[in-house]
Amino acid sequence: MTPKRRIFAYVLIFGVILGSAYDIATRQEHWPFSDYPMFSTIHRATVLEWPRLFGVTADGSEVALVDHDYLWPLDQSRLPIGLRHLYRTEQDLPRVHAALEDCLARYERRRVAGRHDGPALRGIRLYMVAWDIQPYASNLDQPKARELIAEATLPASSPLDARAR
Amino acid sequence: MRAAARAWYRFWFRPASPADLAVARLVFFGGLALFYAPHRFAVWSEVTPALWQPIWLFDRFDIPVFSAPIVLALEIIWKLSLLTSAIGLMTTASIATSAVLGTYLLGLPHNFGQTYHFDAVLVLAFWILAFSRAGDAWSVDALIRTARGGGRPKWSAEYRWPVQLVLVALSFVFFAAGFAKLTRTGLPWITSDHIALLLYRVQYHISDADPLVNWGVAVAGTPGAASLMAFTTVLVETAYPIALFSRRLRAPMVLAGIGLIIGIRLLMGPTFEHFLLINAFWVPWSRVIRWMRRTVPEYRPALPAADALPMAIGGASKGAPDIAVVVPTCNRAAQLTPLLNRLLEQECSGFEWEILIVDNNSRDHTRDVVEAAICRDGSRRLHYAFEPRQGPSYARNTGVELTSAKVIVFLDDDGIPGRTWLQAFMDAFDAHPEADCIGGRVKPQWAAPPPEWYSNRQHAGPVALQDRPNAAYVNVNHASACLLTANLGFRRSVFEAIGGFSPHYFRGQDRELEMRMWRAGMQGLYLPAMEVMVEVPRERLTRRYHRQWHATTAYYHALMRYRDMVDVNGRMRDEAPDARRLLGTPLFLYRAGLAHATGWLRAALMRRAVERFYHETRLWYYASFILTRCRYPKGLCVPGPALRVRDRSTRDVPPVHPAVSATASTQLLPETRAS
Repeated sequence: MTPKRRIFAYVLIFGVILGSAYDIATRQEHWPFSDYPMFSTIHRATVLEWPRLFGVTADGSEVALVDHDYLWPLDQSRLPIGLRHLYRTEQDLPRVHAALEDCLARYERRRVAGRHDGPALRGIRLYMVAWDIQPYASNLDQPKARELIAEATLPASSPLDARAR
Repeated sequence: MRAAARAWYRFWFRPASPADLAVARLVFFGGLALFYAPHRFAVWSEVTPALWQPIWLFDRFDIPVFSAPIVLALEIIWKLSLLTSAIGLMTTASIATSAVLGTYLLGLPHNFGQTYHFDAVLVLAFWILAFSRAGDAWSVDALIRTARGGGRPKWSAEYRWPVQLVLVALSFVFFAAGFAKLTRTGLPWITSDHIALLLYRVQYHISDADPLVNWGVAVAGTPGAASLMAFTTVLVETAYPIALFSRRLRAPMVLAGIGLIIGIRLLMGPTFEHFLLINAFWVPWSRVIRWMRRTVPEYRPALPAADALPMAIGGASKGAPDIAVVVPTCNRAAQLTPLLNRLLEQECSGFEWEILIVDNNSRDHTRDVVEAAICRDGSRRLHYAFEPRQGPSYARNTGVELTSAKVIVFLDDDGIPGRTWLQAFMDAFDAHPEADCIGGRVKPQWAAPPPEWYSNRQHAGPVALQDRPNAAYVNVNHASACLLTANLGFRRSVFEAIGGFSPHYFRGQDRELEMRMWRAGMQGLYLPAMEVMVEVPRERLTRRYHRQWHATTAYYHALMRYRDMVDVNGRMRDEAPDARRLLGTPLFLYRAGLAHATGWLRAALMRRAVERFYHETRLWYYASFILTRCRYPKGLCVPGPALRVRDRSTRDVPPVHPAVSATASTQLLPETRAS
């Protein structure tokens, strides 16, 4: 191994070590370096509050959009947390609205394309839902409370909306 | 401080086999190529900008979301680069492409609401490997290089630091996770019912994937189980870096880490499957490969049935041989033919003999060369055996185990004996029943004229010559001389009595074996009649090589306690436990070293370059000896292994695959230094 290569290796070694150590020490995230805080927050409340999307069908009933295929690639962790950040931290309801419209369009596009077998929707609502935590989530469909944050509907002229009807 | 610096250096830069890095590369990139094959990254281009919440990297460098066709193109190129990185085609460029595009594509989804942590270390690994020499072995590049006549890569620090750095990055992941739990919430993270609640919470579809099983509910409902799980998690995460330093704890810690990831996936949902692939860097692949070669005979191409007996290839000799020539060889196929021809031309009468070529893990076409010679050999004297464990001791021991001859003569693969060489050996053993081993002359065939500072008297050791004109006994009273295995025969009884060559000495195995012989009351004889010519390559005629040779030889002498047992007059003696030493080195060696230092100074002042270099080489020897003793004050005397020496009456039922029973402990040993 030549001296030049050794110096180069040392640069990489110290880069990785210092980058990782810095983020750990300062509790910051500079992806791909991170302090890996997942699951480090303690949850003592027996009530779970979570933003959840519900679809509104043609007859006005609501269905929880929890199937992975409905809004792929947005999942049940990334999307709710992203939305919560928008309305709670940034308090930017127009962006939340835009995001919901995108979710509704995505859902319908995928449904029409046969990517999932969910019902046709004419609207989508974002609720903050609260459950008393129970084993096996036995009360998943009977939350303790829920609060409407925002909603979006398909424009009347939308071909997707026509299909939904 | 010095010890810490040495440990640091060894951790990163101790030479390693190219296979360790190369196979890890193959598994890592191959696994990722399979895992990401069905993934689509272009869909992220279609996600609304309303959800765009850039992570540091994308924010800091203004990295945009490209349009779907561009991301699709990047995705295809990246997946191809994963594949070519795995097979090692244009490896450096492939891995660099994997790193650049992988950073973008894997980082892209984290800009839409949440940063997941399963792929950050993969990106770090891409970048580390992009600057490594991961394609030197087990790659298409290596095949092409070999086809063009390039050599096989040797052990090097280049194959250790990238592996170590990936593992350090992985250890940071675990440690940081445990550290975050302890510093952010402390003991309540373990003692409270937090984990139980967490296991209940994940049943409400709040993760990127649902738990695969609902056993978490049962765990949460069992008193104490959740806290035990929390404690185990924090323990494994914070203690994970121990795996970097402790060989004993490495396997348990790594398995615990894998178990943790699998447990999270099963009970809580988050997907970490591809994260597991990075564990490929923990595996000592070179050892796995050696083990496979040893235990799975099919790993080598099957031998024709007719040739498979009695010892690998070559068929049975006419009868039990009286003398066997054992030639260990490694990657010298090109030079082997003249030696094989000369061995088959031996002029012998009155005894049976055979030749056993022990292929010591060659990567070239050694086997083909020997097989071709076997086909030419009508007498069926020539045999081929394969010994996968690297090292001449292993090869020689295998030779001893595979033959039933009463005399075994060792010859190096670069030597060319005279036509009556074997007859001379047989006559010598008949004429000298008092000799347990007999060594012959090793004369030089210079590849280049020797330099002006060279003299046979002072510098024969490094060029492996044994060129004395007169016969001499070597025994407990004359133990300073060493008969070289380049041209040395043993009675079979020697191995039956004291075992074989110690595989722990890459250099000086012959001296170590002979020390055991002399201590057991045996004796050897040097006879110049048995003559072998050895080609001395240019590399052995450089000052640098000679300095290194003396330093390395001293290292092994210090380990085998040669200078503690053989005095300045060449007499072997019992070690006096109360002998006067400084830093573990006998005092008389300091005196000898001082004499050479004085000689060096005198020669330097009088401008006698030849004499000065002679003293310099000895100073290298003493310095290395003392340094080794500082590290291993008592040396490391490890005897050679007991060999399964075959009974001459069981000639017809030999083992098909050579397997030497290495009984010597390897735990006591330091890292053997490659010669």
